[in-house]
Amino acid sequence: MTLETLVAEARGRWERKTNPDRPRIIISAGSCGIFAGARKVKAAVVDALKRLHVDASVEKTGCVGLCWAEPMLDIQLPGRPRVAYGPLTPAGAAQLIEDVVGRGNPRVDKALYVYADAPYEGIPPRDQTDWFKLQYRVTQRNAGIIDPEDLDDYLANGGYEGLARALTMTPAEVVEAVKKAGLRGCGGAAFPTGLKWEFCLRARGTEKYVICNADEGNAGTWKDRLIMEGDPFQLIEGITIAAYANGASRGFIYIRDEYPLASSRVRTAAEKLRARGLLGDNILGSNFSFDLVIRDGAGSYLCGEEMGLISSIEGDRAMPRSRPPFPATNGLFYKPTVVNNVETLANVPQIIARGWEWYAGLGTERSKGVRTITVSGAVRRPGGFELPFGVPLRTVILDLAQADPTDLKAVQMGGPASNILPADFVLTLPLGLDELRDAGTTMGSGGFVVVGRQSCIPNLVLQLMEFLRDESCGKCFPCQMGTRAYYNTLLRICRGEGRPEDLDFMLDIAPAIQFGSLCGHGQVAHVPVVDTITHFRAEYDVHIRERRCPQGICEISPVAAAV
Amino acid sequence: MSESQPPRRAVPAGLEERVRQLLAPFRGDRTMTVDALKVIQQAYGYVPPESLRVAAEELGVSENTLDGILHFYEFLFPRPVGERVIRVCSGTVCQALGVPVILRRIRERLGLRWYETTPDGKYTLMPLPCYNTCAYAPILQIDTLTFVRVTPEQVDEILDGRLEGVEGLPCGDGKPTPPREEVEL
Repeated sequence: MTLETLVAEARGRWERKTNPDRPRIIISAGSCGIFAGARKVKAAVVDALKRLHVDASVEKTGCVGLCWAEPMLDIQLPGRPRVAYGPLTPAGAAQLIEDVVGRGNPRVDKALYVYADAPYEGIPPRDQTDWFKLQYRVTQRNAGIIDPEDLDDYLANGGYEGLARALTMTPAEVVEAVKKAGLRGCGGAAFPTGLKWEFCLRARGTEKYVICNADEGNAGTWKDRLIMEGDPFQLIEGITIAAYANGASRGFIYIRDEYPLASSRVRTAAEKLRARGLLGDNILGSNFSFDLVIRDGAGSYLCGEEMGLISSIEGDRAMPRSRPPFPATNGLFYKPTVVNNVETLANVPQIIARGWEWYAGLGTERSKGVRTITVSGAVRRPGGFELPFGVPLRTVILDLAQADPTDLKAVQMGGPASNILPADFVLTLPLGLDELRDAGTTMGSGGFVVVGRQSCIPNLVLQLMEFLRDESCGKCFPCQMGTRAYYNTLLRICRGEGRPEDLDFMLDIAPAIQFGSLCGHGQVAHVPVVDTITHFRAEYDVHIRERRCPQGICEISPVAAAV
Repeated sequence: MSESQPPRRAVPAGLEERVRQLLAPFRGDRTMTVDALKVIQQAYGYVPPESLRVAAEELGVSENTLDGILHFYEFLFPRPVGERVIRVCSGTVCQALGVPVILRRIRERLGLRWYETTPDGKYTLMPLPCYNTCAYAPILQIDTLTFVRVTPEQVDEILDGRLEGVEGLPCGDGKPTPPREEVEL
């Protein structure tokens, strides 16, 4: 079947779905939503509909990124626009259904936004609300709108246009387009994606692989989860285009075990795509064949490191190999391999479908395109936002996530081993890859953790270091011993048994860990320690000299307290 | 890190035949080591050390390789765990929002540190590698029940079963997985 027929059918179904003749209730069902109680809300909704004797369709969708507003649900009455409500309790949801569906009261008090161009009953259109007006949603454009397990929803919303167009181009042209778009890796290192693809395309060998790194282990980062739970088809389309551009006929997606819902949705999506001939042999009638293997992790942070991930797929411990040779020439089973992050690959379909000129026009001169960032910690409205580069971080942290400006101490961007900087400084920076690099930091994977005044910095770093120590694979000793030395020293400081020379010791060993380690894990393990000693030395000093924890979080040992 | 020894268990009867049967789909596929050990864990609640020799034969790898893998991954248990596994998130956000105090409360109540099991074999405490649902930090999980935005005061209520948790979304911790329709919304 050609794409045109598939899309025409899908559009017909989508039209009927979005112009319903009976009420539609769409429940936001990402991991966040489920943890917040979406199941009970759904049960309450079904009960309420039964009580009202209303025939309605209860559907599900992924997370729109307003994690603070979960559990959320959208209601669309026949002939009316779709309105989002949240946060709800099960009882509140039942009342809402009775009011909106039963009595036709739009319940403006609980409404968040409406999917329409103009306000409806005083409810603002989605794209004019504070949370969406700055966003430019590319990878998240369908998340929270479509059913993540219904292929027709995706096809009706521009799905597979990118692959269809890519198949009319040569692989080299696809690589060139991605290169010109300025797309850079969204996993943390921000390496130009097109360049990586070019290395792999040029590498010798007929057996090549594409790997999607869905081991999003950085705490505070859930952009990849939003994509996999909200729009898994787009990710698989991106992987397929990457495979076409690199001459791979087999791909892997490695999903961490902590994402059971994402794994289940990606699996469902792959099955549906196979059934329609969009994955497998002779995709869309071309002579290009590609299939995807979905693998689950078993809880190892190092699987997020590309070489560690490759080892894990090969069936070994997730231990990184030394580079070079790079995966582009000697990757999985020592064959040329492209390893890309979920968000990177999810950007590709739109870049090909809409042209690289469009993507290169987004963002700033030096950091092109968009990036999903997630903000959590000491903020009132944690969530995920897809923003064009150049947006000031002050806007993101204070306006979008609504951090309390009087309760800001530090911000950590992008994972446990990334910069911890004073909040005042972070608020002066713009969102941007090179812009942040100039300021001596990096946005890493885009997970912003806001640390409030009640947190104890040495204790926070101690916890980070315990994690980094436990997750060090032990292959190279600078990382293995360095993280251990840091942990032991920090533990001493947090027990009130610190010595005056401890801080200098930790600064002294930093270069050995940084330059001696094999992979990114060890190479950046010193960053939180060095940063906090630089910016928050006073807190360490109180622990060491006065043997007390100003925040009352550290457990000062009785021996130390008595001295 | 000290790891207390839970009561010794005898080698499960019929282990060899059972493991061979379980691993039949993976026979000779050395890339599926982790999945194979997960299957064994699903059956026994942990990966009995005695099963490694058989598993190694089935997969075509060395027993040492499997032993290394078993001790490497967080969700593979090389020894029996307590009847109930308590997992507390070890991610940054949860840490910043109160996990140290929650852990102290658990230690006061059950005497547990990371990876330890109570002497009566009831509870094991393990870190939960971040679910990245940081908007709901701190997160505590008991078996398949998840509790969000936990305060230290709630620890007792949770352990006594007085607080309602959210069912589902369990990660591979060897406990029988609830049927898919319960996990899916």
